[in-house]
Amino acid sequence: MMNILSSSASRPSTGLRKATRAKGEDNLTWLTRHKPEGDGSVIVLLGGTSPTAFRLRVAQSHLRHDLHPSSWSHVVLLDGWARRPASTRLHEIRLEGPNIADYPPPTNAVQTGRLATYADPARYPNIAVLRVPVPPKELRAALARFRMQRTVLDAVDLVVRWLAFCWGVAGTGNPLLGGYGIPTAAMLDVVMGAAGFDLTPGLESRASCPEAIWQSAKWWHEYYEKQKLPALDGAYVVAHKLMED
Amino acid sequence: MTVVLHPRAAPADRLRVWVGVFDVGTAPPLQWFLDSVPTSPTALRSLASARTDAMLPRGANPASVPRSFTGVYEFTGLDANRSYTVAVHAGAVGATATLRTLPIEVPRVFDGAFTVLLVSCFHRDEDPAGLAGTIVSRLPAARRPDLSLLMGDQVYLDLPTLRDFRDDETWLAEKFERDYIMNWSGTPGYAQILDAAPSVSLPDDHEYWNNYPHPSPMIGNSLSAGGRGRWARAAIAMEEAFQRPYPASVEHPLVLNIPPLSFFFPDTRTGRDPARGFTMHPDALTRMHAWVDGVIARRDFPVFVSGQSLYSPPVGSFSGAVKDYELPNYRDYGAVLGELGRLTDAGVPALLLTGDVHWGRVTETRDTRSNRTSMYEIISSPASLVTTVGADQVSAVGAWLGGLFGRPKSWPRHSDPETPPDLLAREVFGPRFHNTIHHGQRGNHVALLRFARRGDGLEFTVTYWPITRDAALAAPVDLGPFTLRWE
Repeated sequence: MMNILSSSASRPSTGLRKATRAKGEDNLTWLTRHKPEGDGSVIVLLGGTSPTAFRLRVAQSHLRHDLHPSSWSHVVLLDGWARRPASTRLHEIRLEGPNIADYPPPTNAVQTGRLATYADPARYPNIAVLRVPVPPKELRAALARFRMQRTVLDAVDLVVRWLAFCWGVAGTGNPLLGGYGIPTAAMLDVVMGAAGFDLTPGLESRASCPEAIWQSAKWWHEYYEKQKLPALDGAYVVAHKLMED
Repeated sequence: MTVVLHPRAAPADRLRVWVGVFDVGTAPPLQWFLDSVPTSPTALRSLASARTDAMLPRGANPASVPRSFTGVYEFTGLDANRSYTVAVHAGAVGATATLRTLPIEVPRVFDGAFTVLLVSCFHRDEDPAGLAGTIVSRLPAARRPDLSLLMGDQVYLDLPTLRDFRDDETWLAEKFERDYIMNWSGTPGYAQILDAAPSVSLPDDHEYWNNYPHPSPMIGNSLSAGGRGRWARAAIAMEEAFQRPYPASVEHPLVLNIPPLSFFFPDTRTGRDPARGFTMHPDALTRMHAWVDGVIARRDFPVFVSGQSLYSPPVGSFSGAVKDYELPNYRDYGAVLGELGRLTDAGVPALLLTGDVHWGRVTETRDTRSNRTSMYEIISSPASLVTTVGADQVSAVGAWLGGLFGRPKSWPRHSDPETPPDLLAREVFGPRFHNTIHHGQRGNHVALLRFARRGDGLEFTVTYWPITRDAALAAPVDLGPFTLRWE
């Protein structure tokens, strides 16, 4: 089992709204409808249906008390909102999709992409948009330093470990159990931490992952209130489950 | 005459320096300079003879007895995390050192780290070439310590084992003073560890004798009350002269805050009750209560430093009398742990740092009530393993025989790390706290803790740095990062 704490909250956060997708609505339109208001930065959790997403979702079952697969396989940080939602810039560390073959060391594996990549609800049926109470300027500064400092967190190392796991190379085991977070979530955890915000208070390690962020949003609101910080809030839709609850 | 300076830990707005003037009959006047400007620092211990007049040869004119004079001085009103050049002149002889004030707080990730060096158990006779000092002085820039914690047995006053120690306070004081001078001066050697960063020292038994203040069968002088008194007076005078972290005292332990870290340094040895009532002076326990209150009020992260492990189970009366009693053998153990339990109840994990046992270990303690990590214990020991007459020779023969059959044993004199008890202090807490070992370190080493703030918490890594020339054993071992977070 992983070292993950259970929140003492008895009820899930009321700041997290279930918001079903309208018929035929793509993720960009859904995101536009549920764009968080107020100050802060925005992250988007995504749950995919590809083989890589499947591997990632199952790997995160160890963070759940019921050991069910996670609804989430990826997380990205939005860089503001573009006039055309598809053009909205985002920061992430991808394990599949466009540019996966790029040479990652110069940026500590961080990639900049566009929201259009995640528009298709068939490929990404699960989506959550969360507001994080950290000024975007501070996150940008922290992200710039993250790209240059592999000594703080070597995301390239994480990418190699997770690709080996996702592709079934040489019997590679679940990296989370060895304390190696899913790279994009681990990057966000460190960057948020450098800006003074604890994104995953339930974790006692750096083995962050989208499921840990989801649990923070859903169950750790009382912790943030105790720290005199606004809790994560936003909206979500989970349209694809690998197992019924 | 020789003059030696070593930095001492102090709040971020000041520098403390220990000064030793060796081989003089009277205390010379000192002239101090800070960045070349004449300065008058505050004396926390004015330059004074390590040996009191009563410890000098009977009938001798004190001014005619060459000896050591030591003092501790403080420069205030300085900038945090900045280097200053401190110079002291005693007539024509002097010493200069570039010293750095401590940071005002632990940096955030990406802004560096606050690095703490952990050292204990240094027997000079087993490191005559000064390897420990050389290795520490050559740590890579990114690993250089900001603070050094010397957690006991910085000297072995009761060695060599086979030497006949006279039951004479004058003789003992002179011998002990020489032991300290050997370690506190000259390079390469232990003095380089003292110079690596501002330090805090805590004594353990070998600052006095094995199992002080109790009689030890190996130390003939300790078998009578009078012998113990004479030895203790001489050794305490040296501890005060060379190690005591002024302005702290046995009754009033040093507290050092580098927010959000708060260190507490109780001396659990010097004032130890021969009747095993307490290891920590009762006044110090009262101060610990206040320290815990302060940590909780400020939501700091507490660090408790001791000369022995709080995790060691009590030893039986035979073992205690022959080797060394452990902290649980004293009646204040429950009260000390009770204070640490208050930290757990308030929702903050504590770090417990210690030495003593001649192996390194990282243990995590989990509270079954909350399923949260409540403590980490980090042990760093030894920097240079003490000689053990008889056992060392047997180990050497065993290692030689092993080598003949192609199985040379690394660190043949060192023992393997012990696993911690499954439950921490069951007699105090019941089955509440479960221990898990993360790592055991065999062989001579020092350890580095590197702290950085992340979110509203702290994370730290532990690096065991072997003290050896053997390339096959010299690779540092990195552990963590571990996360500390308030509930």
